[in-house]
Amino acid sequence: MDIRQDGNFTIVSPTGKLDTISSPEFSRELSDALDKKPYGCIVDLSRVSFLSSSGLQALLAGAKRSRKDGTRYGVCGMSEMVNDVFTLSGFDRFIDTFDDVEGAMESL
Amino acid sequence: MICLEVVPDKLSQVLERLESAIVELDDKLRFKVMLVSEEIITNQIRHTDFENRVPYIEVCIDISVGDGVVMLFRDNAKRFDPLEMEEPDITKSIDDTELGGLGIFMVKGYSREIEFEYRDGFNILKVVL
Repeated sequence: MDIRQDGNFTIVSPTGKLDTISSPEFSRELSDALDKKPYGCIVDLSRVSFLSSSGLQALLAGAKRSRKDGTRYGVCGMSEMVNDVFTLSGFDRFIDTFDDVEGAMESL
Repeated sequence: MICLEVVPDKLSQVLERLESAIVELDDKLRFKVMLVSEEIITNQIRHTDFENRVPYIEVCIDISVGDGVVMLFRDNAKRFDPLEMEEPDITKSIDDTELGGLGIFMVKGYSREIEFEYRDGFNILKVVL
């Protein structure tokens, strides 16, 4: 897990699997990052190889929290298989997705 | 066919053993097997009622079936057919969206065939990917 600041944006970059084992920690760290109420938060999934409903739950919690606090929130860098999970679940309707961090920072 | 017993507090070990048993599958099929396994097994552990019996949960996988995979999930809990679960409404707004039922919804989405039966005291879910 890597968390860095780039201008007004906090970039959260989990690594490996976002499954039932690892997602609780990811969710805590994402929540901690959002506690600081950044202008924007981008979750970079380019180093994530697996996403289950547990990972989706963490991403949803981040989206809800951001909406409440007025933080701009997006997800980027999904592999084809991770993106399939995202779209199958319908999450692409209410979480903005981007190809990469730069694209997310430009658009959010 | 490979069968693994699932010890509820050792879920990560079971998932690792399962993953190592399917290394010869291509990336997409391996991803689907692991997704389906996690969603079904966590459902078995967290949402089923074993009615004071010693829980028994087992996952079996057959990867020698042409271009697909057959999986069997068995447990000795009270009869519970996950296919009868109400599907989540994925058209809801973000504020109204909850994740109950999303796992089995995704399992259905990835399955070529899926069927449930309750036989000899066991819930048996067959999934063909």
